[in-house]
Amino acid sequence: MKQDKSEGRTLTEVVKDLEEQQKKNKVVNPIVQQVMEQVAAVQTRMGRIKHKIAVMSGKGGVGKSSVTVNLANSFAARGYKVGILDVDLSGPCIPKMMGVRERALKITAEGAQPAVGLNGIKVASMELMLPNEDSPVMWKGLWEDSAVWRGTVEMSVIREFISDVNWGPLDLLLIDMPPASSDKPPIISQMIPDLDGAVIVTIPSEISQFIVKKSVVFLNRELHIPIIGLIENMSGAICPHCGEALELFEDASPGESSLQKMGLPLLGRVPFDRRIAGCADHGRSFVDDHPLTPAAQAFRIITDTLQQHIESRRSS
Amino acid sequence: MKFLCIKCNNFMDYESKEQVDTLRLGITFACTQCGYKVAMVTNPGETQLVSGLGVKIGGRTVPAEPMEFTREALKPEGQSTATMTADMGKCPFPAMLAGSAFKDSGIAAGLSGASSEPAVRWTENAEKRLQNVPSFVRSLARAGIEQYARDNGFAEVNDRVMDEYREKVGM
Repeated sequence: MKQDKSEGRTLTEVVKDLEEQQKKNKVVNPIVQQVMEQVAAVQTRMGRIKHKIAVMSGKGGVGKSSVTVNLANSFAARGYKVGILDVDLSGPCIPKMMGVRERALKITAEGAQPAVGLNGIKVASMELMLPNEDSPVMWKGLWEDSAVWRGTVEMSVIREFISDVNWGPLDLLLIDMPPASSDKPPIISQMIPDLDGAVIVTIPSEISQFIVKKSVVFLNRELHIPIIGLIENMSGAICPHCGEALELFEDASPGESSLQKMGLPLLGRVPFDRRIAGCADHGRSFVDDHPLTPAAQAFRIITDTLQQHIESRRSS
Repeated sequence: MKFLCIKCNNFMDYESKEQVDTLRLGITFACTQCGYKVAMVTNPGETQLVSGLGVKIGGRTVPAEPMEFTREALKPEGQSTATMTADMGKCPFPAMLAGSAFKDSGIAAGLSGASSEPAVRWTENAEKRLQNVPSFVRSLARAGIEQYARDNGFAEVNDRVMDEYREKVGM
């Protein structure tokens, strides 16, 4: 290091002394100060929510959002104050499923007020900031051309959804994640360090489980997000005409899946029921409208297990 | 980043900032002991990343509004890329400036949408040539070329403007 001739000290020594002085005088860089304020805002907002569970899968099209809304309705039926944060910025479908597509996030001095849907469930989503049903999410400026910069923007947008939405006190926040295994989970794990864990959704196809395994390893080993368990969605179906049970996927076997062999607890199997999609399309609650169906029962069993998990975690 | 005044062994303080052109900021720092000043001109890409954090250079003068960054970053529907570059709604830098001479001068208001700067047309061939620029820096290049055209009295980006700009930036 070049010598600082004026005092005979190296530049490193000078900088360290100055930084020490700044620390004593509590001088903070304005950029760092703002980042610290952002972190504090996230902590304050999340501190009012007792439990946070992420609903994830490395694979798209397995029914994460559908599982999320049905779990939300099941928990709400038990008296939980529930919120859903839709982190799928480009394909946000929670508001439509929850019947609040027409509403917008209302900006007030206390924060952005989430839409309140079925069973009093609060919803925040990018969709609630778009003008029309067919409006795509597009970022303006230089961000629109670069995947690198877009990642930074989306991180800030997710951070605002976590810190700026005025959820009020909640018992449970379900975070509906997009089908990606690498970029959004680290944001969530960094911003919500007290996440109760993740629920992994898959379907009984080898391809799905092949991909989901990769995300499980990533979440658990790299991000240290606890995996609460596995939900096998579209796990068989009942023929609406003859009532016969049938497998939707050719090689689906009733035994342990490859994911269970990794040690993941199976929270439940939800059979395919086209009324689940019908309710989602019309913003209705499937578990409330069709409570006696095998799929609704499966959601209740899964909710039992999740409830035990989070309550035991809280008491411990 | 910070600057050290070697003479005084003192960190320089942020003093002021201004928009150098559509893609770069000039930020001035001064030594609080001897008053010596230096200015840095930001690199567009790096500045872009900082602005992506939703922070204001020099600190905030007013607290952030709820969902402020998201609302500023969302592209209004129906606004094409070409329109965006012309009205500088594309440029995120005005949003980064936390109360400054730049803002007070009214330039920021112009850049944030209601631009007083004339829109620059693009010839078909110039558009075609722009497509040869890698996509992740294309917006930067487009804005830079348009600024060059405006600064030099061109109402249209054509082959001549493209050649001159290329010469200027040494590509």
